[in-house]
Amino acid sequence: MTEKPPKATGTPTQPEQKPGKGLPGKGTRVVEIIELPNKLRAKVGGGADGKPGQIDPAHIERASRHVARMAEAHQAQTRIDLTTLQAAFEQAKRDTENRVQHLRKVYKISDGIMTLGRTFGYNLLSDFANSMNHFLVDLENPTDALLTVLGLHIDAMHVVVRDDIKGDGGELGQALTKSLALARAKLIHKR
Amino acid sequence: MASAKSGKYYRLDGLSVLVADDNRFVRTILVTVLRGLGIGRVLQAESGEEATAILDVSTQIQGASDIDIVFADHLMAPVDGLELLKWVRNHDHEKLKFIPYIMMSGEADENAVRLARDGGVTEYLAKPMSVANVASRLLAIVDKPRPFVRAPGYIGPDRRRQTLPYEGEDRRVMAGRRVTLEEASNDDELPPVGQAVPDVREEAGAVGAEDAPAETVD
Repeated sequence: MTEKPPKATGTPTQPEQKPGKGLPGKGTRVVEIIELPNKLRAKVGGGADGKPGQIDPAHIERASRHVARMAEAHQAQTRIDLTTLQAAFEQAKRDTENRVQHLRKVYKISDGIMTLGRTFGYNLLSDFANSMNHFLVDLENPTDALLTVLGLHIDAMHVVVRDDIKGDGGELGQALTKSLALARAKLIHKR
Repeated sequence: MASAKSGKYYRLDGLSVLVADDNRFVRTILVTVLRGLGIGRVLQAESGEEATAILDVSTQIQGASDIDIVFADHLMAPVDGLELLKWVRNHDHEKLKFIPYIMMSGEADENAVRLARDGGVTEYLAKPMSVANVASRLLAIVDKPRPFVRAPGYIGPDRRRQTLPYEGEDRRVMAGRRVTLEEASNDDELPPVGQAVPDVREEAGAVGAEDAPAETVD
């Protein structure tokens, strides 16, 4: 299979076509390498020396400060998300016919919780959601045993939010992490 | 390639970024991070469809400020981040076709990572999100751009990120910027994520080819 030569547009450096040597024949594949000018580097004021630049630490600090200001909103949003997630999970338990559909919703909400937990210092929230998500990626055959393990993870996330557990959560956090790991191992063993 | 940093601080206020995520709160936080980092213009799309509309318009309006980078979540519905990526890479307009595209996803879905790589993603933003990882992806796009590769079944940045020694016979024929792989397999599959694609020695003046030689592809 061969490729058609690209349209001559002039923006990127286009490949040259040289007849004769290297002309594609049967059983060959042609790969085009397109070198693009680094417009972004020029746009942000990158030096001609080609050395990588940096983002001003003051701007990184500012971004972190702005995010930190949203901590209360994050707490409120996480509570809402957990409530919605719990409701979708309960539906998944009841409505066996549409279980996969409900669990997809659980996955989507859990993905959001995982995305921002650690951002606001709730490392365990991200970790538990992430561990749960591993079981939600492939939903071909959601068993009752799977639902039990998912339920344990959701309960643990409720504990983190209820007790406002940040970082690794100390002894309670470690205990929760261990028991969830055990539950996951049992489920994997059953499979 | 220079390894030492120049110490120069980039001015990001001239950049325009599109954030596509159907989770409103996650989108808000990412926008907050980008604005905090100094990005001048941040556009938001609450779905993959809305992102396509915004991107399409940006190509049609003359004089409109270009969108420089796309951040898109993988788990969007009905048009997810991967479909949006494919739409971008197959777009007729070169301004869009070659746009740096950052896919955001959790590591739970390894298949999504592989599909994004093979769909032509520029960078991957692994969740959970932080100011540091957003900043590092921006820097990677500015400082480590990879040449684009157009091959059967693939268009996107060169998927190889490292050059490894390869002892086999080099079957590539380099002609300008075209690389012909002779007697290559039709199988375009690359090794799984995390497993390096073996490299071959290149002729002087040639740039990296995207595919490995036949022996390593088979």
